[in-house]
Amino acid sequence: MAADFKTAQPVEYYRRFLKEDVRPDGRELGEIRHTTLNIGSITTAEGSALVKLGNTTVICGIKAELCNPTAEEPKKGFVVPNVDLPPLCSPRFRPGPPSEQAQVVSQLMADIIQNSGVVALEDLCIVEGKLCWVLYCDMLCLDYDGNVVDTCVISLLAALKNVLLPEVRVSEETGDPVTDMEKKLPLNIRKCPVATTFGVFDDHYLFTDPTNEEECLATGVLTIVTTEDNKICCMHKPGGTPLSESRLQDCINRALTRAEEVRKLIHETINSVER
Amino acid sequence: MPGDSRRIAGPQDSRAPHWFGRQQETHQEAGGTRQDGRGDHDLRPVYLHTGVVSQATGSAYMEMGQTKVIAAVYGPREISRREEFTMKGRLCCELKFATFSCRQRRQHIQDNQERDGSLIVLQALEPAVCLDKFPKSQVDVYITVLQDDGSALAAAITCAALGLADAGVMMYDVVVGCSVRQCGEDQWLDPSVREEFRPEVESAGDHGMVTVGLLPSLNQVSALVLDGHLQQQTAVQAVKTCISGCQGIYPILKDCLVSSTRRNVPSLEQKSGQTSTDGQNGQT
Repeated sequence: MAADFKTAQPVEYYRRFLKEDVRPDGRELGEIRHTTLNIGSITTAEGSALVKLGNTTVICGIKAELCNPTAEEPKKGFVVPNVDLPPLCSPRFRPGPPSEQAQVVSQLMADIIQNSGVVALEDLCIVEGKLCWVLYCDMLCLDYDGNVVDTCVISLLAALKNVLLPEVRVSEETGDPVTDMEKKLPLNIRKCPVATTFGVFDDHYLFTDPTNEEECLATGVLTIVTTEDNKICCMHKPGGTPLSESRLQDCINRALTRAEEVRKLIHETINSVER
Repeated sequence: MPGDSRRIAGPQDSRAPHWFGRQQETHQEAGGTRQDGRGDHDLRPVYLHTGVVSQATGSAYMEMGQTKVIAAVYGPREISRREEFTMKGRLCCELKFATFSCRQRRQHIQDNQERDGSLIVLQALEPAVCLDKFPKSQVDVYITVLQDDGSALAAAITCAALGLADAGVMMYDVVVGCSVRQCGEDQWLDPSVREEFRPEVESAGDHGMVTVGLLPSLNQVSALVLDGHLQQQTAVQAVKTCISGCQGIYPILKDCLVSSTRRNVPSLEQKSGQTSTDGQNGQT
């Protein structure tokens, strides 16, 4: 009976739950799904991390390559994030070039990397104007059950912390780079951005970490990215219902506590891997 | 990558760091055994799991040593493009290597090797699926290789078949894939990536790779791919080794399917449990 009602009147079905301050999957409005993290499982990548947020799964693999810096910015390397939402992860995606959503999330990742300063591009420079690292950070969604942005950010941060780069020296005779694959150095991670996504329903209900169903029903989505010094480094609200200032403040407070939890999780996981 | 405006572009030209590596990796020959200590005809440890993608009709994950493959099956669903009417269903396969899956970074766009692999997997699965059971509709199988440490194609075949079985698509039999690498006198079952890309020894007569897709309970071969050059005798021997490898993986796949069915249908177990206790009561 409940299933029929859900199919026929999904919005009303949802409203009934929200009136009781609970969601159909049993979570409270501010509750976030269980987060699991696995670091370093892909050994062909310089750094990798698999994150599960409820059912949503994203794997991030980082490949580092050597290249020439641009003439405009001779002291800077590159970080190239790309989010892939393949047809494997959900029936709503079709094979072919990246969907609009994938492009939006990729660009958001690029903005987060730039605004938060998680990696200083100067750290990636080896010889000024001659040689630098490029980090290809590819985030591949394996299971799409909503809130892919938060999951991508966690996987990106964890994978970056897992990166080990081989030592590079430039030979004096030929001027060619020589890498020492035996000696590997970690990357200097300067900031820890963590994203928290909220869905807005019926103009006044706010719920954190929306699932795929909830994302479809929501009238607006808001993502807040914070760093460890409690600064907001990115806010993303693509249209939708307008929010009052006090609601926004609630969201920011929730995002700050969530970010603290995620940083603790990443820290603990990395320590357990190294042991 | 020219002309790909839908992705964030990196620098024009970049090279993997191992190109500039000081010492090339030396292939150490330890008499008789392989680098990871296996015998020539030993499989690596296999791990299988079903139901990994919540959104898909069926899905499977497979590990063979360090090779990691995930497959998701969607359908049977309506054929999206208007095409000729067929009473048979259609099976579509797409194989993709993740960009970070190999030592050399791969591109986002499907390359020739992946297209080739998609076709091989499709042809391996087609004989096993009862296509006439779902007319006018198609079943999509998407396979992603997360890490390639050799025998990725064989793993893709097995994983895709397991995904189809998990999706409840009617099949005559599952398909199990296995590879053999022939290098001179040496014949290695389930080769790792280092063994796959071994340079050709000048004096060696035989040099090649064989991949077989087997319907294990019918004992029929649905796919056979042979690269390189092998003498007739060696080729036959290599195929036989592949088949025995497939038969080695089959029990693991069967166990996985049984346990996943147990997990998905808990009522079945309860019922059987109840009946057994009832029986005991009756006896006492």
